[in-house]
Amino acid sequence: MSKTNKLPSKYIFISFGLGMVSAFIAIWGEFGLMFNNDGYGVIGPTALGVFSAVVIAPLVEELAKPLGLYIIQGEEEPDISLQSWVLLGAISGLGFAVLENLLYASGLMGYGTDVAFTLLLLRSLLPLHMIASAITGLGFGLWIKTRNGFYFVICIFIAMLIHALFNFSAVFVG
Amino acid sequence: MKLPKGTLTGSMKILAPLLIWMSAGWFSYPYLIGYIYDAVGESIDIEELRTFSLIMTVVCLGLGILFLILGVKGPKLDEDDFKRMTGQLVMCEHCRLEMKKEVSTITCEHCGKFI
Repeated sequence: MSKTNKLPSKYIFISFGLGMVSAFIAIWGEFGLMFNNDGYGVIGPTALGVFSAVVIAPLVEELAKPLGLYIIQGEEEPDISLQSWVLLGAISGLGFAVLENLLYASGLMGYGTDVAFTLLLLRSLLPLHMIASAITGLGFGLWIKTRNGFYFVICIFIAMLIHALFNFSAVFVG
Repeated sequence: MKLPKGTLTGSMKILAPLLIWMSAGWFSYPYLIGYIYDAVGESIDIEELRTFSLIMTVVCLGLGILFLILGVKGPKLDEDDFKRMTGQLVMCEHCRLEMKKEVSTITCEHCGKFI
């Protein structure tokens, strides 16, 4: 069996922290592409909101979320297991989700803290970002291990597709 | 390029609890979103939402349990398989032992013979 290094805790902190940073990058990216993306998932569908939620958000967010993974590999080239890359991907997604959920919940503070907290609870119960980023992490790990970037492209596309379907259902069902 | 056996086993162990967590989210979705819509004064078809969330709960729970079983019972990945695939690990044709391939590797580190 292989002897890969144990996952250092600093990589976990880097992934989580840069996952949060990537939420800001994604918001800027989405604003840059759409000028306005407020309200999807909370207020009923509009053409702009639907396009933003189903096309722009998955594209920008899934590319931005693994920022920590890009930096860890670029700076340190660690010899960690494939499962560790998946875990780091999921942690990046967690960092992203924590910040995004807080931003969305703060947007509903005007209706009362109970409403904002309910939205925070609801969004926290749906770990979409962690699942999608874990898949991206798998693709990234496979890219590193096999030196074939095609696996990353496939996995990030699957992550974007899952994200798009989730947002589509959130917009059209409720 | 064919991936080594057990490549997805570790990923399934991580995805399984996330999917079960997600199923809990879908289960509570109509109740929580209904509360939010009421509070902000919007209307929503709760019955349609309940049906959809029930389907998603079952799908996520089913996938989560399947991934859990495959993650625990599935074949374990040998990370060295990736090194063999990419030629970073080579086998000495004399002693049949493996070693890391460096640019300067001309003799086997185990038996000392030319490779």
